[in-house]
Amino acid sequence: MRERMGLGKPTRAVLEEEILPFLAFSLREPLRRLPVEVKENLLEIRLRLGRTVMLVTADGDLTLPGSPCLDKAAMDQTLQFLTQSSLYAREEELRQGFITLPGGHRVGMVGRAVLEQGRIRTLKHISALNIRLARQVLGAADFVLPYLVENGVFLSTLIISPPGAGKTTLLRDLIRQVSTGVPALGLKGHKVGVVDERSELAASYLGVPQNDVGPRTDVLDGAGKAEGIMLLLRSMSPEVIATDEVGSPADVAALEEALVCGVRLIATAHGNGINDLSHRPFLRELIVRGLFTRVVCLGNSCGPGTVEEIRNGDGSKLLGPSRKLKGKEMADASQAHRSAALDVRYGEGRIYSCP
Amino acid sequence: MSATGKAGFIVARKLGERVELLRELENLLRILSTQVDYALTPFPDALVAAGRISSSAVKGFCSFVLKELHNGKSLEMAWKEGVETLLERTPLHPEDLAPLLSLAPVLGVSDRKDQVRHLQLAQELLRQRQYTADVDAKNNQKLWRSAGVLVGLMVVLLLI
Repeated sequence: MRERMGLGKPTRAVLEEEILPFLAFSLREPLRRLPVEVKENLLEIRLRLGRTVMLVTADGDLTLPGSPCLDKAAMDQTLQFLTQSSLYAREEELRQGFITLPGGHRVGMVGRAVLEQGRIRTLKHISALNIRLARQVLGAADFVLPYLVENGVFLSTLIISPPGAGKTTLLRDLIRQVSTGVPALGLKGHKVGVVDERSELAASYLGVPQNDVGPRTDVLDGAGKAEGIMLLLRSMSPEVIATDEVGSPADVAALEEALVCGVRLIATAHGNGINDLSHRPFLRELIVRGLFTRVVCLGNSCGPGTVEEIRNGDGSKLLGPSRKLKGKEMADASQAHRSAALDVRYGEGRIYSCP
Repeated sequence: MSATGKAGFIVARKLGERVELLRELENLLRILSTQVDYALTPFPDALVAAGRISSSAVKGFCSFVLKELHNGKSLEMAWKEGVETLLERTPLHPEDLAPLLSLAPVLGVSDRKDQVRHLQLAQELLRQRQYTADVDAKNNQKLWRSAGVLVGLMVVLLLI
């Protein structure tokens, strides 16, 4: 829940101020009348034409009470509000299947795809919307950051996690903290370039980042990763480049190019732990070629956002489950624990801190 | 004589105003089309930009639509009501505004190419209305001015 995670605005306020004005009038009152605990746990609102409105909460799914099946008029009105009566202005986003709202909330869409030369040009007859409430967790990187800084230098880091385990949340907060600087760790603020292909990191709306990504962060919104990394290298002289979900050969080549230029990297990849990389040759190459000095693996063993293990680029563990830490690893890890903002034992290390 | 003369001049002026208004509405659509096509400007912002450089009647139309949008109305409803207000407050004929009304259900609900096509078609139709109104004005303006004075003169003569 947002409050529990230390966010500024409770989810119920986000819902009422940032989401309801974009929904059809017929949906506003039933949502306003939801119990506070449901509002606080709300993750997604799913609108499907001809079906009841579903709410996805941290405690499971439920249908919206007091709301009949969603009719076309309500869907059209919602679309008008979402696009400011200007579907054409969101064409590029529609091609990607989502639009971003002020506040960084993403609205995924499906309908009938209009193809041009075999590629999706736009969507029409939109039949379902998925409104995902943005969740920036300030401080999500507090636990892992001490492992990623050595002598005041930020180390290139790859975050591996299955879907929904918090890799984007962690990456977003790492970007913010690296950009701002963390005096307690001797980390000065760095110029960070972000290639935000799916507008998830900065959640830019009309070019303005809606999430706090730090004072020295330049966001390239909507660009492909490989092309975007090269553009940032040429144009913004970043010290750190961050991007989400790398994996293709072109991504690997671009990341290598960035390393040659002396830039440090923060990236994420889908996977269940570091062993998963062995099945994915391009991702394995990222580690084999020494592109990353640290690998952070997230999982769900103690709930979403559990830090399962942290490894050096050579594969040695700094924090992990299967054996006790020894020697330098222990020293590194305990040093890291002492300097961390949270006093966390293994297994309790989560990017979402509990009350 | 002065009253009938004035009435004739007012009718004649309205004929001219109608032509001018149709020209301005065509300009409005041209600006909207440019904003949509080149800048992909959201419709409310495009209306603000267009209203800024339009005459008072067209500016009033833009402001009305924007206000209704701000009140939560759909663009279709806001546009329709704006056109109806324009009809009440100006010398435009209902058939002059048919091209604008035809835009109401399609504005903002399709891709750029489609929007530009609709706006261009409406411009073309307005241009035709403008031509008709222009011919009408040329034929009748002088007639109304003279008729006003002559009717006044006749009344004066009858009274004498």
